[in-house]
Amino acid sequence: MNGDSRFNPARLVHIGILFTILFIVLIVRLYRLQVVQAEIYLRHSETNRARVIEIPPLRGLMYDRNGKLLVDNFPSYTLFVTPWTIDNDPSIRDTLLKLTGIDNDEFEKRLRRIRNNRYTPVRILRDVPFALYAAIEERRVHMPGVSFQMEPKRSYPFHIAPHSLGHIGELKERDLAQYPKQKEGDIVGLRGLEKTWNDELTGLRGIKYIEVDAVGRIIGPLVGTNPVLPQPGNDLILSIDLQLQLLAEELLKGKAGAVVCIEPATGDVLAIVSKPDYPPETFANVLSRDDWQKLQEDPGKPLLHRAVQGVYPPGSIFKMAMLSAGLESGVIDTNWSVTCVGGTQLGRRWFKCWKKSGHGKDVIHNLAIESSCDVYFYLLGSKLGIDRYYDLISRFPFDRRTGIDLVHESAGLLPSRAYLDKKYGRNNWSEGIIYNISIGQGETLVTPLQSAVYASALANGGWWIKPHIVKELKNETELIKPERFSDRIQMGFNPEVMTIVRDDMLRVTEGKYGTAGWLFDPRVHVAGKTGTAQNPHGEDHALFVAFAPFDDPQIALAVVIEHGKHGSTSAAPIAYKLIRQYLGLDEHTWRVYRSKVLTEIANRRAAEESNEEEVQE
Amino acid sequence: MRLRRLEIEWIVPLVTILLISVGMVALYSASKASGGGFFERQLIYLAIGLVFAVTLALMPDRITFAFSYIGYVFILLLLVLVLMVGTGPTGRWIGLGTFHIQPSELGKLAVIIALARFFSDRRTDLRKFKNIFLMAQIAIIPFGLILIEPDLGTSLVIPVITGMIAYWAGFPYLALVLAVSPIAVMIASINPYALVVVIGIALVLGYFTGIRLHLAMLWGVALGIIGWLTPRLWDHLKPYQRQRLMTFVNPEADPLGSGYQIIQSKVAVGSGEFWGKGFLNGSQTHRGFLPEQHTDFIFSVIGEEFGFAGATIVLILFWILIVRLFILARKTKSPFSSLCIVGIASTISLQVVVNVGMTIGIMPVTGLPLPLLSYGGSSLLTTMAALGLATGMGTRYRGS
Repeated sequence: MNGDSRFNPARLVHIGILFTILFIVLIVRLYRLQVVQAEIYLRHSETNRARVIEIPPLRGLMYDRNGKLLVDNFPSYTLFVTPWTIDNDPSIRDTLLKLTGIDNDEFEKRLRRIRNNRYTPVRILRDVPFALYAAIEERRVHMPGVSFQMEPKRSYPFHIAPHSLGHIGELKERDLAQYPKQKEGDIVGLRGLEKTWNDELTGLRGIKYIEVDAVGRIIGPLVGTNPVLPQPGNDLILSIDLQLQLLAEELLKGKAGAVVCIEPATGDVLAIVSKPDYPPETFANVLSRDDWQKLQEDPGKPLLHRAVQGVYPPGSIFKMAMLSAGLESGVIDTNWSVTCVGGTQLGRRWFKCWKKSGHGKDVIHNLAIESSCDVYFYLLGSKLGIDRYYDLISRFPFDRRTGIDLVHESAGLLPSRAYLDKKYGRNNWSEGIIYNISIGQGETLVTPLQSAVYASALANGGWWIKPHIVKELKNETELIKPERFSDRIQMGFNPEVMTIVRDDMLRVTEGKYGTAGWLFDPRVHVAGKTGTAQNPHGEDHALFVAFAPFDDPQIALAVVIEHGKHGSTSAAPIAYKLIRQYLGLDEHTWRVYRSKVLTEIANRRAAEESNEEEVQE
Repeated sequence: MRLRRLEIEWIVPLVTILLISVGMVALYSASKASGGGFFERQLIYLAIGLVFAVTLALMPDRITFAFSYIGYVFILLLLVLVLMVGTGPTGRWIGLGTFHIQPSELGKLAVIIALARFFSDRRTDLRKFKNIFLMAQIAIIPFGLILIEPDLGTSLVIPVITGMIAYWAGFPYLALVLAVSPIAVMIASINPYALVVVIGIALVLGYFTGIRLHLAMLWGVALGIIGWLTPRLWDHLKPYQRQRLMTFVNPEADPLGSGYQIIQSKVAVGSGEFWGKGFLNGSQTHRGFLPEQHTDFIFSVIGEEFGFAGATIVLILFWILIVRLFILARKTKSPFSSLCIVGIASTISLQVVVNVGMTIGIMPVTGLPLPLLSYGGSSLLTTMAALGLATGMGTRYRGS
């Protein structure tokens, strides 16, 4: 630098000298390595047979809330082949093809999966049957580069919840982006909890250095190295109650539908069933293409997780939401009543009530819920109007996913003015649409899981909980509560409104006109609501939501039976049995509660009747 | 009157082209071995890099000057962005369709240009603490952002080149001693004798650069305390904390600690002997024993296939490139240009020393690429752009 006194040329020379010295050090060092010691390294390079082998970690297990093992590991053999040995000696390929029965293209595809390395053993076949294992092992002397590794495989002590537990499999290239910590060919969770909790379950892989001979056969561990042991993944403690789950699976056997049971205070999923399903081991074994196709094309859709992916019109179970909205808005009060003559006229159309003979005069809110009077809700919906309807009803966020720890969850639908405008054209839809959605038919859609969360919200006084199946994570030393554990939203309904709606739900099972009257159990107060979802493709779907015990809800649930016609006859009995099981109400305790509760109910009815009389006076 | 002869700088481009050619040959061999198509992709990067280099070489210096701070801020934003949306195996890339950029590579160039502008200002008096503080500020922000990516190797380049540029800009010797000695003491504290020697040297240097005697005593005590505390703090850490710190310092390290990568690399280089095994004949390269042979360990491929002769030629080519850049920095009349060129030359030399040192086992595995030779778009593009810039700056404003 000329002409600037601050810059002293000597300093540039200093820096130059510094780097020159460093370069000389490098060259001297290279000379030592490549000339002085070259012979040692040359010998090393000729005998260099060091290889890095990964030790897969043990995948975490899954337990139910009481510590019963639900998902286990057991060892299986996986066949590995090192690509370059096949390139050297194609006869190995022929032998392997003959023994395993894999066709050439498929073999080639699996072999070249890891594209930029011919020296890493590639997984060719998982869960090798013992006969094949023995056959290959016999000939292995002539087949360098062919080896077996023990890899754990999933096993399931109980046939339960295959959709929710999910399954594991090899990571394909197209899914790499979803698993940032893993590489192609790794065993990862592909569905269900296995996928959602993959990072926790996986653990850390270990590494060992081994020495191989000239053709790639393992001689033993590389001298002077220590393996890094793998760290097993965390176990999952599920909130599932195995006994309840087993009963629910049993009760739904042979039907199509779903059951979801939730602990209303916490969001613990106690049982989650979707039928028809498939044996949980289906994907643990190597699935043939035919079997896979059969599963996919089955008209009963066994692969669909109906509990979280199935959407159904809620039917009458939606009426509690409507009543909450009506009371909260102030459009109606508890005295507002309708006259039901078995339907109501709107323009040229007659909107039927399910009860042809009608519910008579002075149908107020409690009778409307108890006997599920459609006319009451037609008129309530009409009074609210679409905007107020959507504004208040969306406090029950049926149009959003619940956020359960399962992949591929669906959301339901709550039609807004914007939605209807888009569907039918601006203002090109009639009042009749509102009538329909007010009784939970038409555009309104919910999933069974959302219905159970809805029942929980009614049970816990207005908290929309975020349900979860994984309660805790367990490693060798500690229990960890997952962060998402306690998420819930206060829906913002007046507590009095919630109390009214809850009281009305109790009448469904205990009232004179209750649609699920025979679900009444003298030992415990059960609040519930039946529903029938209109199904244009066949028999209607039956729905039932409930929670119990009424005063201190321990369980809230939703039952959906496809083509079950009426909630009261097909869905409610299932709910009843589940509640009895969960609360431990066997025949023995029946008598203890009987008289107590019967008296209570008799008293309440008497009080109500005297009230009615007073009003009449 | 005589027309001034237009002197076009040709040594820097020529040496650059030679180095890139060597790199492509080695990459072809490595690519052939692993079959990853790196060679073809590097060709594309090369074409783009050429456009960058020529554009920057022709760009008037005042534009570089005008954009220096804006570019710096923009790169900082990219560095923040990569922390949030970083992809790739180490989360250091930002995806742009099929291409990914590594902002930390651009970060180095941005810091050089920003510092060059800062120091080229005549008002920047380096004897004032305020200015030293501002200088540190320019370096520390990108340093910190790259450090927490985490990419310790790249981040450490920044303080070193900052030091180089500052030294050229007239950073007072005293301040230099004060800044460097605590770090030297911390490193030396492993060995009590080394510690005493380092403190001694620091005090002597401090004395000769103008620190007063009683303050020198105080400084010696302070250094002593640092040297005494460092190993105790280290021992005080729990084993897993130490492990975590070590992993942070050196994330690419072989989990065994047995230096598997280093051993393999040394075997490859050493077995190359004087003349090498010949192109495509490296047994280590072609049998898949070399880790990361197309990126960080490309020099091992050169060492194995072209021997001591080839490896030394590469180092000498780098040396010529760097010395030529220093000469250009000396000749130019513009302080801004001169500082930029010194920064660029220092970055390249530092990376060569660290990377080659790593492949022959005298430096830790840090994941710094070998400039112009390692596979990788961001590194190649940035280095070529930087060299284009330096060539252009060196050609203009030349002294007579």
